[in-house]
Amino acid sequence: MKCPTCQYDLDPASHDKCPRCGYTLRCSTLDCGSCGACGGGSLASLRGLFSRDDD
Amino acid sequence: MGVCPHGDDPPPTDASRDDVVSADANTVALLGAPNVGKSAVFNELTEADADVSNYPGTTVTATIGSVDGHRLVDAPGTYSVSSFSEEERVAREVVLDADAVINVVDATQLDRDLFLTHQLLDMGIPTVVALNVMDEVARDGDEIDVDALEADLGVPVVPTVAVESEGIADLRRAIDEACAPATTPVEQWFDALPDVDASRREAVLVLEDDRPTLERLTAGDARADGGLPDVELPSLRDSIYEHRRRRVDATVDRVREQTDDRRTVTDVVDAALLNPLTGTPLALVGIGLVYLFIGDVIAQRLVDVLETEIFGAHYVPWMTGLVEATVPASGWSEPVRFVLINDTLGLLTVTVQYLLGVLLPLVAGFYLVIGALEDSGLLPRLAVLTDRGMSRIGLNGRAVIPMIVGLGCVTMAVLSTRIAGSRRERLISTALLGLAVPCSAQLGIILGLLAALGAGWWFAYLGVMLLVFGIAGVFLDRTLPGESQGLVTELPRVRRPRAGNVLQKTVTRTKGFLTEAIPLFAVTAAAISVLEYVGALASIVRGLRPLTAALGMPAEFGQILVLGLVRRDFAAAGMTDLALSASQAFVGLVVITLFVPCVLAMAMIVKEHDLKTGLVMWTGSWAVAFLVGGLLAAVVTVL
Repeated sequence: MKCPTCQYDLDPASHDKCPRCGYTLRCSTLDCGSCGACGGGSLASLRGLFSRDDD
Repeated sequence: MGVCPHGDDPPPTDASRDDVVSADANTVALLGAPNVGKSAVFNELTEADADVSNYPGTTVTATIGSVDGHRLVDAPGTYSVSSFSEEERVAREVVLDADAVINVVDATQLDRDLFLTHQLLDMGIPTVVALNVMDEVARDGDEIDVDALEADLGVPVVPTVAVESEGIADLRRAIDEACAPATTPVEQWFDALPDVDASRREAVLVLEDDRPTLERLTAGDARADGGLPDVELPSLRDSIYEHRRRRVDATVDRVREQTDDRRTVTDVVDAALLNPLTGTPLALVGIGLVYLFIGDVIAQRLVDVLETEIFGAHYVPWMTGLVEATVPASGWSEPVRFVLINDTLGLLTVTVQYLLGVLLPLVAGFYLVIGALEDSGLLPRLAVLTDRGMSRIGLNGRAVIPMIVGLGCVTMAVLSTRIAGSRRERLISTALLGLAVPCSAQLGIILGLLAALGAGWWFAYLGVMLLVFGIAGVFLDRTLPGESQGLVTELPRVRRPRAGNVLQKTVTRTKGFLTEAIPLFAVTAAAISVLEYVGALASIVRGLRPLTAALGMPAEFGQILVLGLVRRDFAAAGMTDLALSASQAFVGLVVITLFVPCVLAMAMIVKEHDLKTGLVMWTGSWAVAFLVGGLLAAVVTVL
């Protein structure tokens, strides 16, 4: 996905923040369509929502 | 400028030596992320007047000035030295050619901006850091230990508030102290470099998979078949970026301390603006205020005074008298006299009246509002809020501004479509402006006529206009090639606009507009006058009779349309002289609204796009106006 701040191409599955600009990836500020780190499935997305925002 | 005196690391590798030690430097690049205040720093250092906006992407090309004998190059905003976008490619070239860099860092965004700083130091580029917007750090409840940051980075760090000129003298002095550490952790990857002859700064870019740099380095080694040698990039970008990110985080942890974590007023306002429940009504109020200022205070009241009471009552009669006294009304000079002072679009009379009495206040008012919206950080928030609705017609939230401005003046709005994004968005927004957005001068007269007809006709008019606007937008979105560009914008901080900065921008932009517009409008006015003189406009009226009959309108409506070719409000004003039934007046008002943009708006469309695009929009407006008008005439007849 593209980082919402600096457009750097990053893999949300392996980063919790953009390595270039430091933008913190949060499920509450990203939509699943642009992210996909949870690998599809609403249950996985929901799990990602809680686990990521609790960080 | 050179290696920092307090660097006690080992000497640089061979790859770095030529760049780190650059004694006779005189080209200094100004580099930083978008919207950190580079243009403000540039203006202060060079005493120039580049645009300063609280909006990302103000600087899209390099601007050059001089400071204390150095050549200062203001590069486009960039988050790192790389080649991911056109702005970044320009910035990379500026950096590669620079002898030193002033790295402007937003003190409230250290996490974001120190990545570029560390990268510059990895590249061995003599650097001085301007730690800008320091006034907002305390407001955020933070504290930055500048000495600790200087020790951590190993280069001079100067706190600044560029828009208030604070710290600029210190920054100017520090340019000659710009330096880079003799060695940095990036060197652990130097063994993986391909076999190319690279300076240190080029070596770091190649390690970070910057293909244009590698191609440039291998361009001289063309093979016998003309191709380039097969040199692979080391694919280390992710590793280096992640390592650098950890170094940035460590630096920020050491130098920044949060002393107060209460939410500031700005935070509360920002949250309210971005929440659709509160932001939407606030945006509507904001849009209403913008319209009130441009569409009413400027376009109606101020323009009325300037156009009628000053230019109409004094200038035009005076100039007409002057020309009549000096240019004879017979022989060869008669057509010249007509072109100069005719009542429709005389070059020295009505054209000047329109340019200075109508367009100048509208343009200045528009720039004043946009400047204040930019400076306050509200413009990108308005774009975010309106993005969803605008995306349904192939536009993004940024296009809301031209639409609001169009209600003031379509000519001006065509210019402001530059804000809308790609060429596709600009085409759609320009076409919608030309078709279904009435300018304030026309709207004022139309509202007056509709008020006389009654509220039902007013709502019918509004409904037809919104329907045409929506259908035309969807049609253009589905037929124009390419994809609509989503709204990707970084949200700058909400802050109080600085009056001096807003006024300076208004004056600079207005001057630029007039310089471009005056010759264009003069040529257009002269051409229309010649057409009128040779009788071509009267021929058009005769040719329009079949069309006006199809609309159920009297033959005189052809004259209204010809007036509309010149100026839309002329057409609306002409409607007041016709004896029409309520349904005829309704159809007529819809047709003159959808009819072609005024001649000056057309000139602007041609200037901003090209002649072919202008002609397509012009003929398209004819077709839509008569198609919709014909349908309405049929409907009101049945009803």
